[in-house]
Amino acid sequence: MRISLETLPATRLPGRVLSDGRLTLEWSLAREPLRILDTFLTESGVVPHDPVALECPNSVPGALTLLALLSRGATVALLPLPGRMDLAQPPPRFLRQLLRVRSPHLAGPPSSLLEPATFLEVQPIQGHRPLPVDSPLRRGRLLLRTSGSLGTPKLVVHTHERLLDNARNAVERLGLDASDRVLLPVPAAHMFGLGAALLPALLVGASVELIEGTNLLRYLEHERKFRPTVSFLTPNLCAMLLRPRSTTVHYRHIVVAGDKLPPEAFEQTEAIFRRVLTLYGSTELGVICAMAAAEATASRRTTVGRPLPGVGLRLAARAETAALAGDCGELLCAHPFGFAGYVDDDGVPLSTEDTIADKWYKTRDLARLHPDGSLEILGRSDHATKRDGRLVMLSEVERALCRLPGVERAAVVLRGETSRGREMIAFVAIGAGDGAPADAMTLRTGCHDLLPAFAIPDEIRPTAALPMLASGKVDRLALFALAGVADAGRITAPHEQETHGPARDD
Amino acid sequence: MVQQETIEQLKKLVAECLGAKLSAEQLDPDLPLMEAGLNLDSLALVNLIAAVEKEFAVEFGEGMLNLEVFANLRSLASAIIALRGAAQSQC
Repeated sequence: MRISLETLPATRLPGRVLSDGRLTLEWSLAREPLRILDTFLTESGVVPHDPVALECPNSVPGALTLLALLSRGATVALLPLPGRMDLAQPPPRFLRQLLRVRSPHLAGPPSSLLEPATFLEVQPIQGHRPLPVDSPLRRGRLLLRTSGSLGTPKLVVHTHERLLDNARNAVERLGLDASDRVLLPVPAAHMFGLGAALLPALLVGASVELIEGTNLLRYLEHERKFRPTVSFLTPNLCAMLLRPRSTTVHYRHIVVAGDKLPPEAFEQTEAIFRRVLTLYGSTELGVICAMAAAEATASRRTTVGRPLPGVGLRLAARAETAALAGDCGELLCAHPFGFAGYVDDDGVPLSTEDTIADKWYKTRDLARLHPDGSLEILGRSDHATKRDGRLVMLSEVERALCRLPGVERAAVVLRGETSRGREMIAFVAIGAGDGAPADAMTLRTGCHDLLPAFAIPDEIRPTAALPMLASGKVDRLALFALAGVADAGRITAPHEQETHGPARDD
Repeated sequence: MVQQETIEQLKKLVAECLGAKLSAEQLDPDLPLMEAGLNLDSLALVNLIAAVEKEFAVEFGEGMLNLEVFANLRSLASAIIALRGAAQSQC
């Protein structure tokens, strides 16, 4: 089934809107703007059998452009908006044009949905190398970059059909229906915003409001005016919103994905948003697990719920989790609506043998399966190590560091071997302080109050800022280089590093 | 003039929140704090709010956490002065 106006119930129900705080589009009136967009694309030389890149902000023009491309059955690569720092990667060369939708926050004349030139620019991609004429990649695919915190970034390929099936599979578990007003402060150009939020909301006929460049003030303003029933957040956004609040009775629940929500914050968050539903997914597999709205057990605070219908979970034994209670190991997932494969920037398929074995996808997350079937994520397997024989999750060390005065952000990487286990190097970004000293010595002393001895980093490096990726995640590859990890440019698969020691100079 | 002093104090706070990428002197009180000007990211904004509340001993209620108050340093200074005035009149 194609993604088109006809398949979206929102367009047949009265009163359903797509908005972004500036523009509001009644879905029942979307036919005309979409037709105009389609004509504009054709006149700009965009043809359905040539794949394109789309820079898509969280705005009505952005969402409509994406919808117009999907309706044509085109292959679209969703690329992040140009970041605030460093060089954007050039777009993949097998794409013919780069479609840039203007950010709603840039100064200039207001966009009109009836005049695509006011929000959309079509640029030919330099050095374009067309795919073979019969390549299946030419049509019907949606491509997303992996966050690529290790190794070279690659493109994850989804077919339109499976992507829709993935979204449809999540609707019931997330408790979405046509009466919902869904607020989307996370990017629709990444799998969480697209696959767990925007597509399910559209499939069920809910109204959707998008926020671009979410910050506390924008979120509160949108919330005041739109009065959402459901919002999709990351734990960082939740933390930002935990302030004394006036009435928020319009919320039915929020859906939170990403790193773990600290258990202490759970009660506070539910006091504001009524209910927190945790969700676990990936760029490759879409939505994997989600908490059900009706779930009342204590495990709500620590787990991400049960797998969605048709999704299989398994654990592979790992040295790091051998000593832990319960059924633990590295999580493998068999998903009926997952990705079709990886390609590189020339559209050449990349091997999946490191990531899929006999339809079981290696998530590279360490996890515990509870007896009731719910899943608890312990952390990334490449963010875990054994020290003095004990399991250390690097994220726990990072969290502890962040609690020290003056610390804004922290990232821990592993380097080499010591007699105690892998060597831990902590990079700590020091923010605007109260004048509290934040040198390595002070930080180390602070660690002793917060962490067991075996979890204290071997080296602590205070710095002004951590290198970041456009996705908002820490650039761990850059940190490896800074830490002086041997041969950082040729990172082997994480589990190989663990069992065979540091990367070798071959 | 209280407005001017407040603006000068704010310039220092913002410069700190920006991690000293700009010096306090370089900050124009009418420059937008968001994308069209200083481009404060989400984290810098939250840090600024916390720093202002601490430095000036005020609390931004939900009604004050909006884009008009935080448009630029001048509007922010006015809001702070209003909050302090309101607090004093309650003593």
